Amino acid sequence: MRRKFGALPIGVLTVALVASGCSETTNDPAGGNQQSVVQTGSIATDPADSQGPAKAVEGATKGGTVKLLHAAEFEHLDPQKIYVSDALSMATQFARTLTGYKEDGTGALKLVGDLATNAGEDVNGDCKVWKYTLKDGLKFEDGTPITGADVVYGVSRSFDPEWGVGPTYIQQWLTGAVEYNTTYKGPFQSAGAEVPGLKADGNVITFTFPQPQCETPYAVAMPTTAPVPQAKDTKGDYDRKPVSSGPYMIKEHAYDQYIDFVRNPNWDANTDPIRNAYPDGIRVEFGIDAEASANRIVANAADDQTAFMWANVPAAVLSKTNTPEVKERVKAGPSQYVEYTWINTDRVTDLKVRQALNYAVDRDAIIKVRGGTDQFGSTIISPTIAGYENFNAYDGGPTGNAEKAKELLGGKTIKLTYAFPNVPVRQQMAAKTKEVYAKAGIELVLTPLDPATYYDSVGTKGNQYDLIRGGWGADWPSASTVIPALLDGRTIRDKGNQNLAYFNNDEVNKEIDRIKGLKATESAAEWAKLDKKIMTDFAPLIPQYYIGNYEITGSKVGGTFLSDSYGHLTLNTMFVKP
Amino acid sequence: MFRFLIKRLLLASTTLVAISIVTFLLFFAVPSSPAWVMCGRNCSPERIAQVEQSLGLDQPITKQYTDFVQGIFVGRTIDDAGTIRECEAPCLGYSFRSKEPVTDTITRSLPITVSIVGGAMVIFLTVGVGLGMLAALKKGTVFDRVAIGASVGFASTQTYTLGGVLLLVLVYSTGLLPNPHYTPITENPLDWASGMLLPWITLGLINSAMYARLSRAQMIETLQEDFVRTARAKGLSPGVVNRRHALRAAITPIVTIAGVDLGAYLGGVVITESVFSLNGIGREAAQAVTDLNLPIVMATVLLAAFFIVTMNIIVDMLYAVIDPRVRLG
Amino acid sequence: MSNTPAAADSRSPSTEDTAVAVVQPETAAKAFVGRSPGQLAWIRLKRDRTAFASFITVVFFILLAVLAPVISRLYGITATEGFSEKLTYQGLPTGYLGGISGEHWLGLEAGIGRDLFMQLIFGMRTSLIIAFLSATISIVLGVILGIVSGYFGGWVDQTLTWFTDFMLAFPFLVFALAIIPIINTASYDVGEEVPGSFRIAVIIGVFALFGWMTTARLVRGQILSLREREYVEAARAAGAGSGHILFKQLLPNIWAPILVSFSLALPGFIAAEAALSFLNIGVVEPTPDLGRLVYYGRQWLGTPDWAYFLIPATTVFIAVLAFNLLGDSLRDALDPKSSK
Repeated sequence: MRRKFGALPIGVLTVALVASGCSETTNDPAGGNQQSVVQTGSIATDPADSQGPAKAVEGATKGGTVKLLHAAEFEHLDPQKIYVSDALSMATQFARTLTGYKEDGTGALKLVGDLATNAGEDVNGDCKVWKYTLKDGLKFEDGTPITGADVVYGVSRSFDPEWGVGPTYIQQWLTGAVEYNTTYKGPFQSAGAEVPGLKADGNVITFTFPQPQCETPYAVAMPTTAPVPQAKDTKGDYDRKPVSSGPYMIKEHAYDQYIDFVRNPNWDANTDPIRNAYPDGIRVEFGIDAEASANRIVANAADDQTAFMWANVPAAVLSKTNTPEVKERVKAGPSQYVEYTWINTDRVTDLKVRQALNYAVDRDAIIKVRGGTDQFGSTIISPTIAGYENFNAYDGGPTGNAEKAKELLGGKTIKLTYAFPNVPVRQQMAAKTKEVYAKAGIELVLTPLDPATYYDSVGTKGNQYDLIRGGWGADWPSASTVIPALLDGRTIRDKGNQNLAYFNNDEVNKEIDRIKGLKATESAAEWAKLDKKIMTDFAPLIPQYYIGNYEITGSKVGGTFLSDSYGHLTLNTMFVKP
Repeated sequence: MFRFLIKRLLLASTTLVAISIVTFLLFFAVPSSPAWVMCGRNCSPERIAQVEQSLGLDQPITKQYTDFVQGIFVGRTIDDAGTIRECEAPCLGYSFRSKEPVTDTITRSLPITVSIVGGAMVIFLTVGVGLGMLAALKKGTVFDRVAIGASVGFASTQTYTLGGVLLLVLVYSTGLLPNPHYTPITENPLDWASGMLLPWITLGLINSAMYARLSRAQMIETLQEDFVRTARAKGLSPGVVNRRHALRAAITPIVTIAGVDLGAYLGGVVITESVFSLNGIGREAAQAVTDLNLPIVMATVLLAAFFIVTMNIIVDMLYAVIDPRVRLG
Repeated sequence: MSNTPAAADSRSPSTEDTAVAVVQPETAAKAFVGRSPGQLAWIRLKRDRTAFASFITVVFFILLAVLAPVISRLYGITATEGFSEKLTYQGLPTGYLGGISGEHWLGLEAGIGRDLFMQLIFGMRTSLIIAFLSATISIVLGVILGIVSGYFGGWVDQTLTWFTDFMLAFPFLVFALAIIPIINTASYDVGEEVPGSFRIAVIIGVFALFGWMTTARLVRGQILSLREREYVEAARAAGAGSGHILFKQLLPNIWAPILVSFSLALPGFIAAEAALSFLNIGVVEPTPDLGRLVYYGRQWLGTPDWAYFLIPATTVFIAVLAFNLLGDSLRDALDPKSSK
């Protein structure tokens, strides 16, 4: 999944002009490169894990309203369209899915049945047929019971060719094709037709895949499987007001201004193993960029004590979070996101050049532009992924090795175009990157692109860019949502590519197929090996850093932690301190 | 007077039509299609074509424009990605991002801008003009120097710097003022005012400075006019001369400028709105430009132009009322 | 149609916030006996201490900007050179006051770690180029259109007046937001770098496009009142052509308000250019720019690197103030009624 660019901070300032006078700023050697916790993601085998209610949080009380300060409207609220981390985190509260993540803030991520009674039943033991049974007593916000048909209808909507913005795993797996909607086109264009491979019988839902898909329990945790009542489907307008199956529902949605979520009276805590739903309401306020949000929450005025944010505290505000009182309210940790500079292998065909680019990169300088909550990263998969192994195929030290790069280039000077979204922080990082590569005799031509259509421009095969800024986060803690999604050359299309290196290698493709057929327990280490092989032998990208999360809450927000599933402060256990 | 009004109204409507045409053409010059933004990253060319069709973007530009105009006067039917929507007059189109008629977006964000501008206007018309007039009457005194010095100073700062510093000092560091926020005045007038205080102060101060300089200059000039001298010669007290004669004459050009400013500001104060995180009409417009959300862009541009043009007419009429020397014809 | 009062639009193009009044001395051109108005003005200006101080400041800034490359060579650091090793992981420059030291006189930019002094003077270069060229082009445009409109009258005047109103009714920032990216992307092929100079030219063009109306109205008003004067009639009777009358008879009599307009338009454009950065349509990296520097710097207000905001912001403030004061003094000096 993708992350926001760190929205355009049409932004605001900051705290304590007075407080900060003339003290010396000293270098903090501990900075950027701390070692991170590796997640222990697992699929629950005990059905008791999937039973509600959720375990109470110590010291938690019911009541109050928490307030999310957010830069811009969620791109989507329609569960079948959601694919950005902020909306994914929000959706956990109004769109329940077949499975979900149970977390306690210690890094132990357990996948349990959410709507379903368990994490999934591999009927024949070959990962091809998966059976889910819905719990009893599940209801939509209007009181109508949630049935298997509602889940199937939800999935069917994700096939609509005009949408194409949500995750595509389930659709591709069901049809066994990358272009999943050539025959079946969703309930609007193929009204009456059946979703291929998907059946509901009362409360039982069966997925039948042509190929083995051993990670189905994870895939159905994405909001693709959120139930939608057909009678209340308002198509395009559903994006504004989806029907809730979770503990909260939308009371008022003033677009670009705010959303008020209130309790869903028809949600039954006894069916829900994941959510505590302590606050009486969740208010989301839009138009407050990260700078303003962070400053407000740091200042902790009465109104903002129940506030929190789903964006990193920006670099400029970081130093204001150093006092113990504020530090206590910061939640920092690793995320599943890795930042890359893609090398367009259609254009930069010389492996030596790609290796030189990898040697010369000054990660230290680049991280500092963003304010140092990230960690040096030199692998394709992030440390939060099962099987992760730390290595650097082109170790030029933290500040890069321009000499080694020059040596590889053999004295040539080269000129490359560098595409990035035209938002301030990316501009600065691009300027920094240009400066860094100049030292190795590589001239970068900076081409800032319109952020709204950035991925359209760079995702078009045959584009004119040599280097492309990009980033990726695993959809669940397995490299199967990273390497195949990004580097399987057979997925390259004319437009809308994720493989921004346009890298296509038979050997790698075969290896991808082989590992995909393995059980999750065996595949983890194999993916890590493939990661190393791709970097060493082909260098189609330059991993820059593992994005670190650094979010903050007001003093009255309790019980929350950074969720390992979507990388933001979790609402599941959040409560308002009295 | 009546003839004048008719003539001005006709001219004003041609201006609005021209502006709408230029804005329309402008967005057809955009190299990327709104369909891309709508359809997302998995979009194939065929799908883009479909989306364009449903948005009516495949129609000839003249047809699209006449549809738009028709919508304003008699309403129209919009095919939004397969959903047929009836959009009643005045229909400014349908926002594909927020899934609602553009008029809804406007009615939500306009009150915010009106609140900011209205309050700031009160400040700069009272504080600014008052200070300027006083300074003119006390020309050459310490008061005059301080007032005029301060106003040149404030006139040389910008909302984003002054607003930033005020936010830091008055809100984040000391908590003296509440965070800027918007509550409808009908809901809680006190909260409305407290949330708007900082934008008012910022926009008010910077503009007060400008108005102070302006009114001082006008007043000084007026005081040198013959009719003022005559009034004094008649033996009228200085107070009466200043209030009855000079003030009235000096205020006329200020009303003109204030009117034009009001028109310009009501169309959106993007920077002020951004600095204080208030999603008024200016920010909606800026966002719409980034999203290539043509219906919103059209509506906000037209609305802004409408305010300017209308205020111009009102100002001209007021001019005739305030200044007996002006005869409209 | 009645003439709109000349003072009706006080605003330079730009933003709601750049409140820089261009107050028009309507009477500036009235003739005096004895010394020429020009001589009188010069005498007044020389006596004005504020004007002198502002003038020196303006010259100082212009010199800094013009000599930036020379200064850079002497200083030994370029504008694009980074010193990330002197930053902490929170992006703050090490040392005192945002990294001010013998090597970095004004410290470093937080985050990106470039020398602030170099960014400042090279940024000033960009800002002043934009301001001067925008002001010059818009004033020239305004004067030409104003003269044509006022002198020829009739349908020419009506058309141009309508066009002026039309341009004034355009919301400038929204238009700038829309058109600047369009021009930049349409003028160059994909993958080709849009040079910084081109981006600057686009900004100047947009400013000029939206900056001429005030001057045009002012000049038109002046011409309307002048063209019926005896000396113009005399010239006409003597068989002088329109060109002669326009440029030899009328123009010399309205240069004073034009000069004032120009000097007051400059600070407006400096401030407006900074506002563009705020909306992300200004000058982009790696071209140094004063407006963008203020925009970045203000986010760091309240951190130990206060210099990052205060220094560029103060520079912009002083520059705008100096230009404003100079413009004011110029107006006072050129106004025969002024008792200063």
